[in-house]
Amino acid sequence: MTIVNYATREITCKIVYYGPGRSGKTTNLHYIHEQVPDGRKGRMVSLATQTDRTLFFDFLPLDLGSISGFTTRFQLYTVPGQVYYKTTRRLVLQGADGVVFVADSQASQLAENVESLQDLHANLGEQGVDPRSVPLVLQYNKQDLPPELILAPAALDEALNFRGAPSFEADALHGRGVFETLRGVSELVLRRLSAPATAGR
Amino acid sequence: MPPVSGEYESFLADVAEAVAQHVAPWRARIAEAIAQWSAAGYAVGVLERAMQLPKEPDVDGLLATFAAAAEHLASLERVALAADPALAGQPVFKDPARVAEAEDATARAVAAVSPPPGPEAALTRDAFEVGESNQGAAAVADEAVATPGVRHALLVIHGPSGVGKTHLAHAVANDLVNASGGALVAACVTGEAFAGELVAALQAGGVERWRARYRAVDALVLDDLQGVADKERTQQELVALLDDLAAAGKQVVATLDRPPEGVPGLAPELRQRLERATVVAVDVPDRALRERLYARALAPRHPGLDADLLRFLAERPVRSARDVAAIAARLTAAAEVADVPLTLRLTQTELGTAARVAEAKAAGVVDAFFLDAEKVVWDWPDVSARVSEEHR
Repeated sequence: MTIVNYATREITCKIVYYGPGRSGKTTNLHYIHEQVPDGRKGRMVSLATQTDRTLFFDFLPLDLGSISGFTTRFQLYTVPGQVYYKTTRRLVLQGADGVVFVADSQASQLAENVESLQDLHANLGEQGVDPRSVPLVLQYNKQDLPPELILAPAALDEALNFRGAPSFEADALHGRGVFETLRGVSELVLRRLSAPATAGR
Repeated sequence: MPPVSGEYESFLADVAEAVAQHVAPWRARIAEAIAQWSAAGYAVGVLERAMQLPKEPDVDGLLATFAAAAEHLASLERVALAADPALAGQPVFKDPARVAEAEDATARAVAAVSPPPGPEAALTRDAFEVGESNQGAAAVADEAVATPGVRHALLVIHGPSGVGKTHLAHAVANDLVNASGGALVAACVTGEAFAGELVAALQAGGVERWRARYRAVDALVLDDLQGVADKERTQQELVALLDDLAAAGKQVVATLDRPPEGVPGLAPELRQRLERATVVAVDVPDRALRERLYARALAPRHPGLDADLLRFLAERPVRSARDVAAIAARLTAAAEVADVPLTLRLTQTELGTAARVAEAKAAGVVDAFFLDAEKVVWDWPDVSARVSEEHR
């Protein structure tokens, strides 16, 4: 996907929130949606099941306005975390400029986190994308839960963050860490604007 | 935890900083220019192609050139609309990649309203007598007519005053117009007039319009071009005009009173172009040419002219073809006043008188006032005729 289109003077970043089911991906988007001024936010599209789980995906368009002469838009997506929506995840992941892996900090969810992370790598690999080349940040959500229920960020880093990607503690329900995470992945994505691979686009 | 106030604004500021830092600055500048010029209605294909370049071009130069072209187009559009309101909204006036087309459209619109002066109809190639003194120039002129704007795209004819340079140059223009069935437009202007027009256009603020008139022509005759000597601005305009006409494959004929390298007061740029042109000379008429010129000048009024008379006339040197015409006119007038046919004797008498006047003038021994041929009686009639009527 083109990050910057000099011809139309647009910067479009597709950022995908990935992670196991119920880790808080949609909650991240809801919080962001709430903070965006009315004139700047598009309608958040959320295709959810009757049990309120993401069936297909969430989509939040953010119009950041004109920056350095470029109309800048961020498109935030979430994938359905449940294991059986693998095909949907793969579709949503296509053309992603950056990925936020939202891990559930609960100790009981560690296996799901690991499985989802492996699923992310597998899907990227199947799309011919080197997972190491995709801008990635990790968010350790639900850090507001009692300490006895969750793993500390350091422990999660050790279990999940073998690439040494930027990681952020978060309580997405109340907003803590949400924008820090988005800012982190945005910085990684925008850093690629100056890379030769996109310079001529 | 309550929502942190201004999180979005803070995020936006960070993104703006990252974009400014990472977007190739030169592309961002061009992108801004594209947005600006697009909003003003201009075609920005040139700038968009520059965006695709793998390496940074001379962005300052590019944007300055684009701005200058847009300004030029706006100026052309004003001129064109003044001449032809139907040209309003033509895309050609909003596309810096099509400046040449816009200039052409403007020139044609203006020329249609106020065409520049054309060649004198009487100065045709058929009426131009050829002899040794001008056959080279005539041959090159014929080639220029056959392939205008090609081998002799700029033809410079030089020679003394009155030898037929203007005639030959106008003949080229006439032939080109006639060969096209009147489709081609030819303009003929003297160097002095060209400079005068420019000054008037500058004073009236109509330089673009003035330029457009000349850029619309298919052939241009610049007569007595030495008239632009020491006129710096005129020469600048002239150089630009010559370049434009050359680029457009148009034919230009210039006449000078001497070879280009000998003309004082020419800017190096103009001199260079004139020297690089096809330069041909027209000399004072030789004997054979003089005879043909006299025959052509006298034949209409004096059919069956005596061959001895023509030979007599041809033997007399003249400075120019113009002198031949003047002498022919004078002889015709003398014959008509005397109400006699033009004969060798009358010619000898008429020209002998003139010759004596000329000799006296040259000697400088007589008061010049009395040397006026109209005031002096050189051949007194008999005595009775000298007595004034009141004393008879």
